[in-house]
Amino acid sequence: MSGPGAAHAVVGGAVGAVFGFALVASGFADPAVVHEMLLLRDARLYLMFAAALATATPLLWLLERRRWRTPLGGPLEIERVPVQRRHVLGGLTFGTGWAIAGTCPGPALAMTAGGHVLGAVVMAGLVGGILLREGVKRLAPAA
Amino acid sequence: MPGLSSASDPLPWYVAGPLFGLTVVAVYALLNDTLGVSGTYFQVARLVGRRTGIDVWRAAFWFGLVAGALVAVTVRGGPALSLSYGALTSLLPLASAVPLLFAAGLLMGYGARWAGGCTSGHGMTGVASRSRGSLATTATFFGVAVALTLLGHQLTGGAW
Repeated sequence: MSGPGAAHAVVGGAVGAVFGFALVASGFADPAVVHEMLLLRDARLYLMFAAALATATPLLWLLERRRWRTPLGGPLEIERVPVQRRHVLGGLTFGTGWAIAGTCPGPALAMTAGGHVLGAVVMAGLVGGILLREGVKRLAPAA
Repeated sequence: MPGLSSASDPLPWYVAGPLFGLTVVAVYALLNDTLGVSGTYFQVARLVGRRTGIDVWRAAFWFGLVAGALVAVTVRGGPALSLSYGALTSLLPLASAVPLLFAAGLLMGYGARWAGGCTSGHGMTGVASRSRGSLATTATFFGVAVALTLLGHQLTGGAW
């Protein structure tokens, strides 16, 4: 959907920087904090998630209603997909890894940037898993 | 965990949450695209593999995330090399923790690519878009992660 423009790179880099800052500053990049969340002993990250959704949901709704024309990507089209088998199976697989590591792709990258060497081990696995899935998809598109 | 410790005045959830929400809105409003971190890993992997047709903003997002994280870590006392990984490394020797974390990464990478997104792509962007597939994915991975964590906690007598 996005071309190879410099403007795209600037927007991507800037939004990524805010995202990375928020990951570390909120505690989401600390596996110990995520583990407490998954043990249902710390409500903070759930509240943060709810606040993120409470911010984005009405704004996206409003942009769509106003038929917003994006400056770099044409008329706004919000992506919506019906529930498919892959959502449940992929979710099960992803959730298992999330429980073990107490981190997910964004926090793992932020953690590694902060000097946590084992974050890089998780990242190596992530890249391996992504490429493995791409390979399987190529060999068996229906799987 | 120095630099990442939540004890050192974390950004409150009611500030961090809306900030995450605005990043999702910014990517839609400016680029007409979906913010998702697992997709940015894929684009960087393609960039490294010298593939053509890279999604430029996604690759830039990945590097921006590193820069933003570094700023936040520096504000909190600077990056520091560390081999600790919370309860996992206090329970397991490094020789077991490393393959376990690699396997966890594999599961997440495979699962995210299978489902078409991770915590950000489905959990934040997709749910905020009221996409049913994203709601199903998010409910599934949150449910599984909580259930397995509670189970592991029981099995280790509360050590994990």
